[in-house]
Amino acid sequence: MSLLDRPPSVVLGANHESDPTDDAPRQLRRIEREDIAELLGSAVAALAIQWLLLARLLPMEGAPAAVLIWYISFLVIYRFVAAQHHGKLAGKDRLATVVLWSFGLIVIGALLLIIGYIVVRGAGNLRLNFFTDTLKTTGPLAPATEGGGLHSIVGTAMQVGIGLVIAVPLALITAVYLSEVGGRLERPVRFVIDAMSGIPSIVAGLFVFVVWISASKTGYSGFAAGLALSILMLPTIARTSMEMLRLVADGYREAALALGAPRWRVTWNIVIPTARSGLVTALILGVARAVGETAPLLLTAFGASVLNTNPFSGAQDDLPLFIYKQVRLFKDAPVDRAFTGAFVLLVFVLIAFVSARLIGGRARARR
Amino acid sequence: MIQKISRHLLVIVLLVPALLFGAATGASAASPVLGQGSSFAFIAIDQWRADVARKLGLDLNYSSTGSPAGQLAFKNGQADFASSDIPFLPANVPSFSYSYLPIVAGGTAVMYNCSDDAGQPITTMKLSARLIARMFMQPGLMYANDPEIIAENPSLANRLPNKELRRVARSTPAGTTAVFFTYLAQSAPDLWANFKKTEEVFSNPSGEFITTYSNNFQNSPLTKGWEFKGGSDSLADTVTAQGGQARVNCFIGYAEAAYAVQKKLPVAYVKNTAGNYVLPTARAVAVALLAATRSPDGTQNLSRVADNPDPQAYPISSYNYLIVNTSAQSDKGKNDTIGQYTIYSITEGQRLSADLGYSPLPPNLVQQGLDAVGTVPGAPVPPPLGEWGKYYLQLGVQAAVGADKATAAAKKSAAAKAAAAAGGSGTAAGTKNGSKKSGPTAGGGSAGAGGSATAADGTPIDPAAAAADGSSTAADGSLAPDGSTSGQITNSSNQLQPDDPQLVAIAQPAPISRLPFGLAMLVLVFVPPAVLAFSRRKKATT
Repeated sequence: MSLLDRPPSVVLGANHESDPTDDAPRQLRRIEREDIAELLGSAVAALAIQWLLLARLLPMEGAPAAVLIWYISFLVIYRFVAAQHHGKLAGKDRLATVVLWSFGLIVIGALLLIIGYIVVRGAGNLRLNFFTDTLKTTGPLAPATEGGGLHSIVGTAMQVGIGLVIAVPLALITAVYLSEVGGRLERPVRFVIDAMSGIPSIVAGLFVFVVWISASKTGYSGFAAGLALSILMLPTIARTSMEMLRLVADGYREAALALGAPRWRVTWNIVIPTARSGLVTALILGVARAVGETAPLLLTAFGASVLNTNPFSGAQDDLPLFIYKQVRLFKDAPVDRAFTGAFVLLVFVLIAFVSARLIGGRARARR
Repeated sequence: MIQKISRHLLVIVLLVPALLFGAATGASAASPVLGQGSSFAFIAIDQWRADVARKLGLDLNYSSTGSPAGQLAFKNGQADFASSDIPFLPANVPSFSYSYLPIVAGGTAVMYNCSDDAGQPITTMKLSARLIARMFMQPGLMYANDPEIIAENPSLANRLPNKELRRVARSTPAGTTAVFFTYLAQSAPDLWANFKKTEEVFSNPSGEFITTYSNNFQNSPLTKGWEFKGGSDSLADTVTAQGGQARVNCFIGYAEAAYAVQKKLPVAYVKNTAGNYVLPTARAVAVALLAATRSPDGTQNLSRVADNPDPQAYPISSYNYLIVNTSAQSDKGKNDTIGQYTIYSITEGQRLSADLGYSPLPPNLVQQGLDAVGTVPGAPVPPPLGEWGKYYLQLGVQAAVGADKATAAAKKSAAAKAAAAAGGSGTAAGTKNGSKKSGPTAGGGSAGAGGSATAADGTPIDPAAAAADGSSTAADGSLAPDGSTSGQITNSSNQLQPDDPQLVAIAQPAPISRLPFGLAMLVLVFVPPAVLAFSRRKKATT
């Protein structure tokens, strides 16, 4: 009996008896009690092997070795159990499924661990005064719930805002050039944009420090930080906007040109409005890229403990610098405060990403 | 709908900064005083910044970028004041006149992380200057059971494991390293000369030599098994290594004592000139700094600190200063702010220094600071010294353990007299010495010391332990048995002692006789899936 003669359920490992004449769509993979028993049994068996090997036979110890040995023996045991149970092919299939699932779980687990840790450590000390108070009179000996990050939130808003004001027009023009105009310079420009997205952020900060702060003797300021952030945002926004403009169907352009509209009108009145949600997504992605940067801000905004609403003069704080400075105070209360700052920053970035997904996703769905 | 929202979003995102600019033009652009530099003093400077903002309405800003970086920024006019642990490096000397103001003191601790073969941490290590110099200036491997270490710690002889002692040092120029090197250069000149020769092979630029190990030295095979870290915090993190690393190796490093307290790392007792082994507590550092003198250029001269004969003195003590612009063209308003800030910090602010993990400045340094403020144009007139600078006398006296017999015998009479003077309040030996130096309030000083037995971090010491420490040095001057006090500066009375029955039990190696049990477990766990599999298979074939 060849493989093809057997009903697909046997071949693919579905272990329920099925009637080949039944026309109803067949669920190929239904999780049954036995499957779970197999998984659990293998897991426990692997645990025993791991314990035997580590505690009694091998001269190794430590959690990483334990987990690794457990995982490998689990895979081996499960492979044989599944093969015995459902046939060789199904055994391989299940092994692959388990491996893929476990790697997926590791990635998601790492992400959840990071977010969870920040939420657990940061959210507990979050009070309303974090949004209304500064660190002006809060020193390292003050409890973690005292003081706030108003000056940092305002600074972040201003610096990212300045960065956007500078970067968005440039990025949009670049994107239009690359997607609508083209020409001999298209390749070099695209190359420069790609190279720019690889600039280490500290280099952008150093550039602004040398060109703006050292040379012009204006001193540290929020504006300088905005300049550094715009360098970092430009490639992200330009590349994403270019993709978004490319998504606009050629039929629109052709129809407009056929009606006699000049190229600039087609771009201005047809292409950009059509891609508007996409462009907003690009902008938000740029913000999310810049809002968590610390290295360039250290050299440009310097950080402060008081509210400075004038970005053109004097040191200014922002959330990443708030976190950095508080962590370096090396006392319990400031470190807790830093985690609160990290939590707030995380929420900001999360909001930015989710709204980008929502707007961008709907834009694509509508098309 | 979504188009509308996104259009509005675009407008809002672009408008917010514009609106904020509008608001900004209305607000006054009060430019706060900017400072940067030492990470050693950051915690204290930041606390006092908050205090003067609340009490005096002053606006200061400080960022810890490291002493050399702070000096450079000060020279280039990017900082109104710098904080530094060391005098100006040759490359950073500004073109205008400047002055050094002492602001906060601290001890450089030798912290370590070493567990014996039973896995119990060793907490009572005692080191001499020569040993420390060997550790941090002699390239090559070193083991925790080195004969010289055992000679210094006879009671740990059977606990010190045969593990590699990994040296953790700073990788970048740092004031802490400079203070540490200066101490070693003075206390172990022959080893220092050797080390200098080694470094000269790498043609280290002369100016930076004292502040850091050269890059070539760090990367050479000579430092195999060493680790170099950028900041005091990451150095302390490395020493705190756990898991497999800590099982295989021991770690030792140097940083400001506050970092060891924060990381709960044990700190080495360091042998001082009097032959006592002393921890870097706030009081021990302040006592040592009573011998600090001011060089003609205003920088600290620590040569008399390292060999301060006081039995309580911690030899690796130093202080940090603010550096301010004193030229005629300097901004008077900014100097006023810096002057007020300094006066607050070195008088009122010193009350907090022990809580912050530092040592209070002794009176001679407070006087130096006040004098120096007087020379800053635009700064307020400093108050007279008065009673300022005596906070260290209120801090508990730590027990200095393991003095050699001769010193102990010499101390015996002094301690008895001191105890009598303080009305039997259990002060340790050396209080008398300290209070004598501190001037007019000798009696009050020793009474204060006896009355409030507090550890370096301000928490009360376990009374029993404090009494034991006191009696071991004060009552009869005999040596405290090793292990009766721990090298941890924090309250450590609940540490396991070497001969603790609990520890002896742990030290027994686990027997490898439960193999049958393991096999039984294995069979037990294997049987259910196997049975399941076979029963299933039968059904499938039928």
